[in-house]
Order: sequence, then C-alpha cells, then structure tokens
Amino acid sequence: MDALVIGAQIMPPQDAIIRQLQQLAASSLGLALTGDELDAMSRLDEYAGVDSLAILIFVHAVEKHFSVKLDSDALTRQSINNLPNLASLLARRLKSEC
Amino acid sequence: MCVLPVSVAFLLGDALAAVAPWFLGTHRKRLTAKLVKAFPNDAAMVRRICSQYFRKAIVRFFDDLLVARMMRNGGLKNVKLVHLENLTDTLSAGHGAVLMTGHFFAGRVAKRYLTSIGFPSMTLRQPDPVSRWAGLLGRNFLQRRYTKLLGDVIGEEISTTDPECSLKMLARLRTAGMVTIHADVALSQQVSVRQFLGRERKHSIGYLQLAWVAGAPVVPIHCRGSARGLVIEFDPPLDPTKWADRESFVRDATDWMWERLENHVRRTPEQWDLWMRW
Repeated sequence: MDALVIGAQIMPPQDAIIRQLQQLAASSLGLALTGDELDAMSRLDEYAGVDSLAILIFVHAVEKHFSVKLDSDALTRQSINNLPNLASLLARRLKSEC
Repeated sequence: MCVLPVSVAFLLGDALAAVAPWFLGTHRKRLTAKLVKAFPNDAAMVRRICSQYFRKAIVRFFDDLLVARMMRNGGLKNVKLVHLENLTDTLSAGHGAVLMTGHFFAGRVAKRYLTSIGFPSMTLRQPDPVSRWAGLLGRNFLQRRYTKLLGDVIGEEISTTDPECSLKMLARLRTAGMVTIHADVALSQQVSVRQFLGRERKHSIGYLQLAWVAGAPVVPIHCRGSARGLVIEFDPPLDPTKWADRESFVRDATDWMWERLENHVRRTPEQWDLWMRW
C-alpha cells in the first residue's frame, strides 16, 4: 500500500491510519480533545465513558470509514482499544484487499 | 429432588404452589399495590394476577430444577411455536438476530428448548442480580447456588460486567448467530425512561445500537407457560437496515420496543417476573 495523503501531509500508511483512527475516536465517542491531546491518543480505555457500547460505536465508525468489516477474532477489546495495534491490523487488511 | 421422578417432583411443586401464596401476605400486599397502578380500573384483574403470580413463580422454580432432567429424558413434549417463520426468515438473511424479550417465567425454559432444536443464543445477563426477597442466608448462600443453577439452565450467557460483552455479541451476530436481550431492565448505560404499566421505568436501549452496527433484525419473543406446556411466540422483526441512520433507528425502535413489551406483559401479566422487583 502506498503512502496516504492527509491534508497536505504525506504519511506512511501506519501513521496515517493512526491519525484517522484518532479523529474517528474523537468524533464517534464525543471526546473534546485539543490537537496535541488527539496526537497523543493511543489507547481508548484511558478516556472516561469509553465503555463496551462506546467501543461498539467506534468499531462501526472505523468499518464505515475504511469500508472493511473486521473479522470476529479481531473484535476484542485488546485489538480495538490499542490504536497502533488496530492501525496495523487495518493496514494489513487494506493491503490484502488492494 | 434429584432422586424423585420428574412427575412426582412436579406434583410436589404444584402442591407447594397451591398453598404457598396464602403464607405470603406481605408480598401479596406489595404486589397488589403495584398491580393497582398498572390496572387502576380492574380490581378483578388485580385479584386474578395476584393469586396466580406466586403460583407461577413457584412452578418456574421447579422448572429450573427439573428442566435439565426433562431435556435428558427426551426433551419438552408440549411446546407450541407461534410464527417461527419470523425467526427462520430473519436468520436466513445471514445477519443474525437479536431476540428481544421481557422477564417472563417461561423465558429460561424457552431458551433451553430453542437451543435443543437448533436455535442457540447468547444471553446478556447480570452476574448476580440483587434479590429483595432474600435474607442474609439467602443472599450469601442460597442465592449464589441458585444463580449457578440458573446459569446451567440458561446455558450460554455473557455478563453485563464483561468489558467485551458488546464486542462478543457483535461477533456472535456476525456469524449469523443470535443474542437474547431482556429489554425490560436497565442492563446497559444507555436507557430510555418512560411510563410503563403505570410507573416510570428504565429500559435498556444499548442493544439497539448493537442491532444497528451488526445490521441484525430485532425479533420480539413472548414466552408463556412452563416446562409442561410452553408457548413461544415470535413477533415480526424490526430490520435496522431499513433506516438511513443510527439515531433515527434507535429513536423509532425505542418506541416500538416499549409498545411490544407492554403488549406482552398485558397479555400475560401473571407471568411477568418483574412485578416484585420494581
């Protein structure tokens, strides 16, 4: 998979996906974060109110955004909570679908 | 109880169910007060429900004790499935199904029966619900044993305290499976508050988000009777894929859910377990 273009920046896919996941998490979970706070986000369970149902909403947002359906074995809190892990999972998935 | 033949054990249960209500004066008063709010202009109905409720509760207790043996001895004999096509047609679409029900006495036996005929479902359940009936001995000893027994009766269950419960239910639906939700209690943090049977109540709506994300239709089921005469009725499903967005689906489905649940309870009020748990 080639680098992704986000705004004016060209990023390696993994970083680009993490950036998109951070933005999706903030919007779908209703987290009011500054730019720096958003950049620092790596785990969802560090934020208050991110419960089992909120994770579900986030999964839906991710699947819709990337046009993929996560496999059943990827639907674990450990996979979803950790944004770098989720990004690498998505990167592999997107690469296999290219 | 394990050594008695099932038929004898049920006879004992029937005898107990016939006399026990007369020794439950305080509980009868509490129940009557709640029923009057739900049926304010129907004293005869209140008396009828009140006299049947405790009998049905005791019969259910014996069902819980004996249903496993009944299943081993050839299964339940007297079962009527009404509009099963509402479930089979839903499952044939391949998106799974969310079975939405209330706390009816026949619910556990119904789930056990459905599993035995090829419709297993994962039930979302509180791990150790608080019982106002139980005293110190009950809470610390009997209720724990009873909760374990219920787990054995219910079979596949998932705890509301499991941080992955929503994801596990989603995974189940994605394999075209089923999950069962008791919507007449507030099991999730997302609830809807309305007047229900004459009182303000909270009902869960988190499962509607699950149905939306999975694209799984919600099928209301109404379970009546007991292990010796069971009726399971499947209502027409509500298909979330017919809505354009999650918010409008959850809003419309919430109205629909309240209406379905109240309809079920009013049809068989003496079989709704939660009167005493309000």
